[in-house]
Amino acid sequence: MISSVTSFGKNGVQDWLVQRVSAIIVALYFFFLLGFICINSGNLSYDIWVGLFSNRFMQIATIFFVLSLVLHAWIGLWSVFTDYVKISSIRIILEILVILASIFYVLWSIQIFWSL
Amino acid sequence: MKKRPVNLALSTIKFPSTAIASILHRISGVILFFAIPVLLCALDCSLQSEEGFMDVSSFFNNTFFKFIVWGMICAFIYHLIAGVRHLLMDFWHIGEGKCSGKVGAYIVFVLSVLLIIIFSIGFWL
Repeated sequence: MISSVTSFGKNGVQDWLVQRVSAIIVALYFFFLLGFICINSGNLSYDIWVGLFSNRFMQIATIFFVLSLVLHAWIGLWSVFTDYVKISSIRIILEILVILASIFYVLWSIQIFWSL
Repeated sequence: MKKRPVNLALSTIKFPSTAIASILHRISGVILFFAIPVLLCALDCSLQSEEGFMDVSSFFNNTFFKFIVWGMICAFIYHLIAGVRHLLMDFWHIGEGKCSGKVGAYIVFVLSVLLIIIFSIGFWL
């Protein structure tokens, strides 16, 4: 069962649930940001933009969003690789790359707000 | 055991609408994975300084970059709508049957194309 080592959850049901919850979080965040950009369309200035992301709640929401995004991508790409990449060694390498990229993106999003 | 004929020539198989909806969901998902670093980079630059914010804004004057962003948002629109179909099937058992599944797939196609057209008009004009 080497393939299950690179899945996110301990079992398929956990992956299933995380996939759906993370999808809803990503969608909610997307609609909020879309609404914000539409309301300020035409005169979205640097000050308004920094003002939004200086808000502590927005920072936590954004990191939450990135976390949901990478968990969603991790589980989704794991399914895709499991189905189409038949050579185990290549599949494992691809899955490890996705996991490393996921961790990198979360740390990056934290670092963006660290200096703000 | 009797050897059954196997047809794996993908170009000769007529895929049902549900299969096409599924593979497009996967393709758009893979595309969106590559959008993550682009978006994080844009967020990082736009928040660092006013010059950075102007740089990210001016990228939208570049047709190539604008096309990339357009493609990412189109992939997102499709992925989102196909995802809602999954949630309807999983939580409320809507569109799970053989016939309703096909109808659901067509609704996803029509809705996505409509939204992509509306979005594209606002984005390019």
